[in-house]
Amino acid sequence: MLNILRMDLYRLIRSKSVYICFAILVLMGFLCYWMVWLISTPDGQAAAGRLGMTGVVYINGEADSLDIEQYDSLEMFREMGMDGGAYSCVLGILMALFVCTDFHSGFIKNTLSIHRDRWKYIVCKIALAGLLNLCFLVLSYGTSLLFNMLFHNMLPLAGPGDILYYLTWAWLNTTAFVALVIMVCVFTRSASAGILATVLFGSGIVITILSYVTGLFGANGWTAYTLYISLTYGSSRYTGLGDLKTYAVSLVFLAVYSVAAAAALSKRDI
Amino acid sequence: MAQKYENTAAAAIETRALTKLYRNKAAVNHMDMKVPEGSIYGFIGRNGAGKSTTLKMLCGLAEPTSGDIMLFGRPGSDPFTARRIGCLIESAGLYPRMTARQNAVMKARCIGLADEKSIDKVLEAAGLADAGSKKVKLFSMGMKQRLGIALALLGNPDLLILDEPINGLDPEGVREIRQLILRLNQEGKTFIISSHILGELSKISTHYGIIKDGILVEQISREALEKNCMDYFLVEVDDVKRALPLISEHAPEISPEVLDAHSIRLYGLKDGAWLNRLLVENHVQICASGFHHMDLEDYFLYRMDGGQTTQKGVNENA
Repeated sequence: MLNILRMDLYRLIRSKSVYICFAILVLMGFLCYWMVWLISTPDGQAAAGRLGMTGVVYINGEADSLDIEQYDSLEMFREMGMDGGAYSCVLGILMALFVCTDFHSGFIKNTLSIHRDRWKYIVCKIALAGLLNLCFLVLSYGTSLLFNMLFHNMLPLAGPGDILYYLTWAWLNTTAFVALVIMVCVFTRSASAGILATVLFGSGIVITILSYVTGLFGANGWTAYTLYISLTYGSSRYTGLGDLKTYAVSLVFLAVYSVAAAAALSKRDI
Repeated sequence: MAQKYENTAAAAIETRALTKLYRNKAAVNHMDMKVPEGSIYGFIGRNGAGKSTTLKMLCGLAEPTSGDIMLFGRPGSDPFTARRIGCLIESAGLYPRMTARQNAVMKARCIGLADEKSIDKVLEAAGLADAGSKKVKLFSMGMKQRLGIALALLGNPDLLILDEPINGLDPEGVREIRQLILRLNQEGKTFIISSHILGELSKISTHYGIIKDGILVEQISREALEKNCMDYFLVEVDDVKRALPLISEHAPEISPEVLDAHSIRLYGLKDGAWLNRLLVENHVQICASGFHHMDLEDYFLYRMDGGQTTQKGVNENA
C-alpha cells in the first residue's frame, strides 16, 4: 500500500497545480491581512486615504467597522478562508483533478492490475489528501504568522494549545471533506462532477439551502452535525467535552465517505 | 469447445467457466481457457467478441460474474501472483504531462522496485532510450504504445497480457516489437496477445484461442492449426446448385463449402483434374479452379462464418 502512496507523492510533488493552489491560499491570506491593516490601523487608514478609499460602508444604517481587539492570529487564520469554505474548495478541487487524472489517463489500470485490493487505492488517496492537507494547513498558518509580522504584529498570537487544538480538528474535518470529493470522483470518474461537488458542498451552498428548507419546519438542528457547519462554527479553543463533537462529526463522515468510495470502486470495472 | 493441445503442460493462465455478464448479457460465457507456460497465445475474435473483457478479468480490472481464474496455479486474486503479470490493456495508461521516464518511475514505484536501472533497460528495449525526457503528450500513438509495452515489462513479469500491442506502430516498430516478444519468450516469458492483425500474430504465436460472442470456440496449437489450415480446392462454376450434388454423389468424403452462387471450396480433395473432368462431363461450366492454402486469417474467418458444420468438416480432414 505504501508503494501507491510513494507513487502518488512522486506525481503530486511534480504537479504544478499543488503550487498554484498553495499560492492562491497565500494570496488570500495576504489580501486579508492587507485589508485588515488598511481598515484597522492608523498607518493603514492613512494608506487607504492615499489610495482613495474614503467611502464608508453602512450596514443597517450604521457605519461598518472592524473591532480588531477581538481577533488573534488564529481567528484571523479562520477568517482568511477556513470558515467560509474557501480552503476546502481549493483543496477539494486539487484532489478532484488529481484523482480524476488517474481515470482519464488510464494509469489506474497500471495501479489496480498490481494492487488488486481496491480498498488500498482509496485508503492511499485519502492518506495522500491528509498529508497534503496537513502541509497546506501548517504552511498556510505559518505564512499567516509571517504576514502578521509583516504588518507590524497587529494581531496578538494565539496560544500553542489553541493552535494545536484548532488545526487538528480542522485537518480532520477538511480531510473528511476531501474524502467526499474522492467519493464523487470515483462514482462519476469526472473531474467536472468532482469540482462541482467541491464548490456546492465546500462553500456551504447545499447546506445553506437545506438548512433554510428544513428550518421552515423547525427541523434544521441536524445541520450542526455537518462538515461545513462544524468547520465554520467549531470552537477555536477547547473548553470542554462538548467541543470534541467536531472530531466525532469529522471521523464519522471520513469513515462513511471512505467506505462508500471503496465500495463504488470495487463494484465497477475499470 | 475444441482444444487441440496437450492439457498436461503447466498453465500460466487457466480459467474455469469464466463468465462476465453485463445487464444479463454474457460478454464472456463459461470460458475454459488454458495458456501454457512459455507460450505465445494469440487471442483472436471480432470486435465485441469479449477479448478485452477477458483480458481485463485476467488483469484484475474487471470482476468475473462467476468462474475461476488461476494464474501459475494460484488464484488470480493472489497479490503475489499479480506481481508476476505485466499488462497493456486497450490504450497505454500514461500521464500526458509527465515524461516517459517519469511515467516509468511511477509504475516502478507502484510495483515497489527499488532499482531504477531497470527503467532505462525497459525504455531501451521498447526503443524509447532517447525519448525518456520527452513529455508523453508530445508522443505519437506508436510511441505511446511502445511506452505502454515498456511499462508492462517493468518488474520482469513472467506473464505479459497485451491487448492490441501493435496498434499505431509503423512497420519498423511492429518488427521491433515482434522481435522483442520473441526474445522475451525465449527467456521463458509467457504472452497472451490479442490483435486484429492476424498476419503479424501468426508470425509469433505458438497457440491460439478463438473467441466468438463470448464463447471460446477453439483453442489450438500452431502445429494443429497448420494441419487444419490445409489446402483446399476452389472451383468457380456457372451453377453451384448443379455442381454440388454431383460432387457429393461422386466424392462423399470431400467437405464442400459454398461461398456464393458460383464458388465452392472443397476440403480433402487430392486430384483437381478428376473433379474438373467430372464437372465438364456433366455439362457444368468451370470458370476457374485451383488449389489454395489457408492462412490464419482464412482459418479465422472460416471459423467465424462457418459455424459448427464447417468446423466438423475441417477437423475431419485434418
